Amino acid sequence: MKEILFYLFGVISAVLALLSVTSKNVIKGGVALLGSFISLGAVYFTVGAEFVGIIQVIVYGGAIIVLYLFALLTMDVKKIAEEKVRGSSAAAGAFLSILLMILLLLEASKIAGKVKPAVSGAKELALPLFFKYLLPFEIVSILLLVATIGAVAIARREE
Amino acid sequence: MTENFLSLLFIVVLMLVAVPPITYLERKVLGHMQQRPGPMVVGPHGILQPIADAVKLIFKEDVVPKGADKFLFIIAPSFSVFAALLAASVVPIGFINAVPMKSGLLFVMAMSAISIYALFLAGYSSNDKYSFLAGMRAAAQVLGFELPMGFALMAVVILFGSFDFNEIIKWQQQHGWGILYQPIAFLIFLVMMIAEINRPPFDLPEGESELVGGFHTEYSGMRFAAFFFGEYINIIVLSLVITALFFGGWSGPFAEKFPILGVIYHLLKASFFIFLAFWLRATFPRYRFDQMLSIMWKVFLPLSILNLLIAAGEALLVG
Repeated sequence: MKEILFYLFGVISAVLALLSVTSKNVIKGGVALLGSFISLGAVYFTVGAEFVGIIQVIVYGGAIIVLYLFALLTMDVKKIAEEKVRGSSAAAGAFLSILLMILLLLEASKIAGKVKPAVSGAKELALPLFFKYLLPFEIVSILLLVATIGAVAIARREE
Repeated sequence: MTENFLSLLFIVVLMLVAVPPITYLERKVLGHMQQRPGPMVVGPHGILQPIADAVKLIFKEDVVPKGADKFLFIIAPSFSVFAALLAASVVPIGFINAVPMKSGLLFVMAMSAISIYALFLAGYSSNDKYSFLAGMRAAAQVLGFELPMGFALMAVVILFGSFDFNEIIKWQQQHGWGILYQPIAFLIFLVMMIAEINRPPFDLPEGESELVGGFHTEYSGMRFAAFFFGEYINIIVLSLVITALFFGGWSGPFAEKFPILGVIYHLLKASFFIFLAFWLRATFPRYRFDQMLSIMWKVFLPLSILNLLIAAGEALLVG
């Protein structure tokens, strides 16, 4: 039963992710992405990683998609759609995506079969994060802070 | 397993059955607070008004406006009802706990994050400028209240040491109600709860005086009713959550001996907060949009982060 649900939600999230990048209407694309994120959360539930699944829904389903849709509605989407896609930027995008895919596949093949859903509660995730891997964690948070300040600075300059 | 299934059935039925009387009570309470009788015509003291409303809504023509995004227009109300019912399924009412979940509190948060899409998508898909503005307001409002609400919950979770409602209530049975330790978190959560269920003074996405009907301007019949079922179920669920977090949930005298008393205690405590939602509606004028955003981001967010320090200190002292 659990396996059937695992594959079911896995397929749903992959199909919706495909829909989200092929959809002509950006808002519908955003909604498809929302569905994809929620069914990813359900995939985590089926393997018993309940905490991760809920966080997935809160962070991606809640916060990030709301931000995307809010930004999309405030932009002039038609004007952006009329702009021609430059070959160089398309090539750069393709290169980066392929690179990212290779990296992900390499790492995924290393951990395949070694997944431990039991180590997915709040406590089990927090302890290594705040003790063993404290330094990378802090570096990531500083990076995020830098990005935030950068975004504010760019928004202010345009004023 | 059958026990869980029965509990789930009980909770779903309770939520759906409770909504019509609550709408009647709301109109009555509002009426008396404003020195008028409220609904009086249908039945004695208007008590059959919800049935008349239901009949009207069921037989009303279901209109999909021209130029609307049909698919999104149709699915938008379902986000509201299903998210609210899913959230209801994890909250224990006394011994009735349909889905005992280790991260129950977080699950309620996740469902509240999902339910906002009902307003947003309804606003976008209606092809109407008032609905559209309301959808934008709903999105901005969710960005405003989610952070202070999350931080307020984080403070109580640090204190209780668990996301599990049953653990949280057990902790309070040993150490006393949560509000004694975390009055600031209670206050923030209360305000954010009102903002989340879009009740006055934070009913900006509806704002009748500015936006006609807000996000539901173009909705009619049962689809319109679905939004309100979602909204009222959300009020009940969040009232149950706030009593579980700060007022000991189902604990009370003799609740250990007679579990049924626990159910009654929890529902009675929660009904005070449902009443509070009516009371606020009768008392406060609506916030202006920029005022709402500025108190969320400039007052409640820093306050809720400071409150984390207090919570951490208390957690060290009480353990």
